[in-house]
Amino acid sequence: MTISIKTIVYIALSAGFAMLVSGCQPVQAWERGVLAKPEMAIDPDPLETTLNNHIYFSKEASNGGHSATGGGCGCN
Amino acid sequence: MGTVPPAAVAAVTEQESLNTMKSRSLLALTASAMALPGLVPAVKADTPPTDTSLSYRISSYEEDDLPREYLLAGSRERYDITIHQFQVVTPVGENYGLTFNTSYESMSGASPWYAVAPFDGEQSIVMSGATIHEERRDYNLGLRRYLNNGSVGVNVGASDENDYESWNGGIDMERHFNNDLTTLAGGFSYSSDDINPSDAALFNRVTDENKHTSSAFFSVSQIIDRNSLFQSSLNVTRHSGYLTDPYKLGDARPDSRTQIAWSNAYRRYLTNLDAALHLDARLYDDNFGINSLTLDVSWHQNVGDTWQVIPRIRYYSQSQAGFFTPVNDFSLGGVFNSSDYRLSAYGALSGGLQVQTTLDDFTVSFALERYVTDDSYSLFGGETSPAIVNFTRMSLGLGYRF
Amino acid sequence: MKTFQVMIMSAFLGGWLPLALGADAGDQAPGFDLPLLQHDEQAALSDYTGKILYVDFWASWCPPCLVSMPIMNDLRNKLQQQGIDFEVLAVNVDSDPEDGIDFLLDAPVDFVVLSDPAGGTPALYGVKGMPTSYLVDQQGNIVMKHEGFKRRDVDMIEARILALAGQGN
Repeated sequence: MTISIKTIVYIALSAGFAMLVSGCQPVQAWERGVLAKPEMAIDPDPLETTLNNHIYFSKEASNGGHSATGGGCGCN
Repeated sequence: MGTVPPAAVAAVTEQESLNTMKSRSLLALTASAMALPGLVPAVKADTPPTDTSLSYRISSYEEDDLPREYLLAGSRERYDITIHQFQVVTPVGENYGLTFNTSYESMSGASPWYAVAPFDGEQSIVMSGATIHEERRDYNLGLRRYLNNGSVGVNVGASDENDYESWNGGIDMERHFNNDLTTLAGGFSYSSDDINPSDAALFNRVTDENKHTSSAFFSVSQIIDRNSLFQSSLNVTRHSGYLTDPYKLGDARPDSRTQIAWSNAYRRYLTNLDAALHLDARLYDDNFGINSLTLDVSWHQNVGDTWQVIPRIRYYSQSQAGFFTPVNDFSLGGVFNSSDYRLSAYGALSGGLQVQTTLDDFTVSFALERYVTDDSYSLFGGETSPAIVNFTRMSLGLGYRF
Repeated sequence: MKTFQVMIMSAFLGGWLPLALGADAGDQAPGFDLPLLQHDEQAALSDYTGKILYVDFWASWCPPCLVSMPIMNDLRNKLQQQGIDFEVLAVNVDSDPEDGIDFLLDAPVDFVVLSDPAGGTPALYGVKGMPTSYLVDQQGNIVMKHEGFKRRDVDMIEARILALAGQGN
């Protein structure tokens, strides 16, 4: 498969985008200490969040919210 | 506009003396909290738990009385609820984590029964009488399998109150990409609820109805730099079956409802201040005609090595349902209509403060929140029900790891 | 769309490219010279040539790392008592070394603990996850790279060390 100029340009732009999104350099595995702090979790206090959702859910018409965890320490 | 059926007014008096009227419990006619993936307490899903943690929280929730000028009949006092929550998270073998959640609520109070405009067009609410003590229990068990690049979880749950029973189950998974900088997650849950309203014969209510709910979510999390991350989630829910509130006179709602919510979360740690900023925004839309915006900002400030102080502000605004009527029109027959304030247009502002401290393996936390609604807070035009509610909440939490 | 796929693939590649370098089984273990975490001394990899080494990258914020520390400490002491020339070189990568020191005050270990808050050494080794450990033979070659840590891993690690000791000079 020959690689066209167009493909090379796309690869370069995307790599640049990836680096932009991850900060100029991607965060390495040993640099995840801050992200592992409890206050940096999407949901640091599950019981508080469940309680709040439970209450707002019954007083308001809306429901739905964050459903996943992410970030963290990247530990294997 | 129809007139208030005299039988209904008579019944209010009768019920006050009989004192048998039961008001809706906290989760009236809504899917069990545990059924919706967003409401199962999230367990950090990067690695299996390495120790066992126990958490307990007791909360007191009190709604402000209905303002005197809006009350036509019934009790002004609204809900007072005490909620106990308990959670255990424990490792199972080397690759699994088990989570068990249970809660118990006991409540008393009155709720709006119907709305009329008997005098000069000013809305007035007829409330139910004061209730006897009501209880709700729920349970949820979840098992999570951790793999090299992600995890898979299943959970089952049930809830029980004297007029409402629900069972639910769900599955979810997440996978890390891009050297763990990006995480994709998705899940599905289902719940089936049986509704058997109290005093059905006395008030000519339905008996033995059912509703079921399916919900799916998809989310993307991205680490931006060593101090910040971002998550975007989409959540679609569909309810079908009996969606009307049997405790509200004249209430008639469609038998299906589709909802979509798009949430975004940003977390940033500020090194010089040793604090983390949380920003959350959610847009919501459904086929009842309701749109809403929710904004949540909290500041997680570390104080020394063992204390954390977390002030928080939340803003919420919703539009009204297409079939919301501020005053019940009993002549409408089978047409959809509801005067339930929860389907009216209004805004809410709440402020809270949480303080927590760690001592060895113990954690103690205290939280206070004040939530105030007003039609002037709303972004959307529309009609507001005078029965919109304000509340105060206090919580005390204890945690232990071993 | 093919173009779209290429963009997504290369976006991920942009994240992986800096880590294309690194060390794996079969390579010479890259040298390092680091301060000890708890004492005012330096230690270099070359100080330990001739020993079987377990180079372990860990941090106080990484739960599996903390699980591995006492387990590897017990293994190290047991093997040394059997007369096997084995040492653990644990490189702490906490950006604030105090966090690593605090952990060891509660759970002290007998092996060598080094401090690298700037992260030059894990970068040199191409560490992709925490914890990552490298089993190095008496000639300074990496024989095994191990990512993550589960309690039962210790049996496998012990077997590899005994195999090296059996062939040792």
